[in-house]
Amino acid sequence: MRASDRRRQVALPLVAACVGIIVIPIVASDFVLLQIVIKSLWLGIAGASLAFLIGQAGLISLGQTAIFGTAGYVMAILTLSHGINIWLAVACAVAGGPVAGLLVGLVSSRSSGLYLMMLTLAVGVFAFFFGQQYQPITRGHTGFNGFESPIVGGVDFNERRPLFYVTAVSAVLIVVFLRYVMGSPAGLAFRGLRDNRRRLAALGYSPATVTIAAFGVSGVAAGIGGVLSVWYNGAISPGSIDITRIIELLVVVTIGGAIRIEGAFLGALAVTLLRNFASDFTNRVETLVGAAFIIVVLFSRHGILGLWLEARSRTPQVFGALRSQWRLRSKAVAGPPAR
Amino acid sequence: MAPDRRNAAVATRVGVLLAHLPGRTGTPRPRLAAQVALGGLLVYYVTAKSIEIGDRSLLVLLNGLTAAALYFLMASGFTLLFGLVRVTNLAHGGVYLLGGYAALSVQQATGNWLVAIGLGFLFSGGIGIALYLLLRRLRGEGLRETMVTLGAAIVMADQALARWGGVPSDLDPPALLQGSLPLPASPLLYPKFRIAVIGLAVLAGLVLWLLLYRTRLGMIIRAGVDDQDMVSMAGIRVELVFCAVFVLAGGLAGTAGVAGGTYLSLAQGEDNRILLASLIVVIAGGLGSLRGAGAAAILVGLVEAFAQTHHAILSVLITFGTLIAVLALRPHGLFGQPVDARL
Repeated sequence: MRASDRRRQVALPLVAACVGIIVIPIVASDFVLLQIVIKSLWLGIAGASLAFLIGQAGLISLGQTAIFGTAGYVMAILTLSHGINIWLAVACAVAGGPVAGLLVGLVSSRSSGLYLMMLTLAVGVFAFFFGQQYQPITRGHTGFNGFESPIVGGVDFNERRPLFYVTAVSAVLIVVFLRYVMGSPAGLAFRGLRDNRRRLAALGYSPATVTIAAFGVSGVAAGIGGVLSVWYNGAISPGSIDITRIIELLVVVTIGGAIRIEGAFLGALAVTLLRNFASDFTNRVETLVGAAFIIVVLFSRHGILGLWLEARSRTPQVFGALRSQWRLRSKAVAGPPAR
Repeated sequence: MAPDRRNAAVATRVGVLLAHLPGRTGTPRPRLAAQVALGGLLVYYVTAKSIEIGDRSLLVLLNGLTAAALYFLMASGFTLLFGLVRVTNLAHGGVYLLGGYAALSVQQATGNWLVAIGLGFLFSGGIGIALYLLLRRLRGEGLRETMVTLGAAIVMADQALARWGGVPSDLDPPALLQGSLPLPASPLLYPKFRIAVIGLAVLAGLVLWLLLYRTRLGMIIRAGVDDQDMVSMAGIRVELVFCAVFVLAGGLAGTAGVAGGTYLSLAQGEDNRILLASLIVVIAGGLGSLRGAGAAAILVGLVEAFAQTHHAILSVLITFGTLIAVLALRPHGLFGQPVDARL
């Protein structure tokens, strides 16, 4: 890849993200900022962890809520039950993400495909029941309420704007981190796992280890998503990691399109918009979300992002170069361009 | 505690000794030794705990078997569907709930439990057909099919909430099965209906076995599990058979819903609880294996009942630990065959 191409690929999205971070709080109303932008950002971060697993390593995990929940619960338990300094708690929770990710990976490392999907679903639902049952630590059904985000130098992170900046900057950092991993030799091993497990093994890699590593990497994003969700909601309970949330993450990634991790943010935005505005005219929002999910899965392989890329690849001349590039790549692998 | 610990130590030592008996090659086998030792410890622990609560361990056993019966009804349909059509139906819990609720409405209208369970079976069989039609476009793409069933699960749960509300409700058992039976050799009573559920599962297992191994349809289904293309080459309309399996699986889940709705209750979230249990059963038993579903249902049911009695707070952890232990020993489940990883 030429240096200018690389610069365009890296710099353009970064500049766009920075402009977004500056412009959005000015343009958006308080409602939109809190209910839609921030929510879809932390949901997108959690979704990005799954998009990474699905799109890069070909592992459809339904256990991301277990990671998400571990980080969230660590955060809540350390601050609310033990009164530990909030930044220490944040550090522990963020570190808890990859650790939980490695554990989920360990449980499912010997399986793949559908088996892995079911096994991780069992892990995710297990985390929910553990939260609900193990009262001495998790406080059972009610969970933790009344979490207060920190106030630093007069900036109150319970306020919309500071919360937005924290969430948005984390989102950018997560994307940068995941893309860095994708570009590294480890990223190549993950794609090897996705495309041909046997050949990966023949090359001397252990598919089990690569699976565990992929879960570990995704745990970083899922953990940060969990921490931010606690900051946003001020609470965490088994309800935040129940099967609805498991499905929600998959919906977010599928609707957005797992071919790029950014798709998760697109999907999170779509789902959040649907949830907010559909509730104005119907009580059956979940039916609508479920139906939208089914339709997207039935008719599109890569979600909204896939539709867009497909449309772009059909546009003549203007994107001619891009088109040929895209075609080549989409022929090369069942999945999509890697970076 | 001291004698307890000494007994445990003895059990371990016996296990180690047993495992060191020469195998065919005459070499000691440390892995087997560890397994036998652990197994011995486990048996010792369970026996000790059961003796501790005396008579009531009979109740634990029966509760375990009742739960196993319900899990088997669920898991057998799930595993059949997977075995033949290669569909992982994550809406199975939703079918359970809707089948139970439909029967509830029928019972409220007619007052007859038998009519209710019959119509519950038909209704959930109908849902099976709907799922079949929905999934037909995606045949062969296991992961996308699974995602569609997940979407269907959301829709079903929400529709059940819309139609029947969030308050837990249950069906009345038929007059014949109301009340309790005295248990032999103890002053304890056990509800008749729960025993009937065990009978129902045994019956369902028998019928399924006869259907699969003694009829032409069963022959086709089993052949379809092995090689779909050859079956359709033989001039059999595989699509019809697929549809029949969807109906059967849906009907079994609906029947489980009626049984569960009678002795437990129907509520929001029940669909997920039962789905998790049957997932654990199916994975532990080996995907696609009916025998595995039966064996694992009993295992999971008993472990769960035991854990709920003796370690209420850790029961989910223990049930889940069982799954992990089974998978550690047999990665494809108790009776499972390796499944093509690229599904």
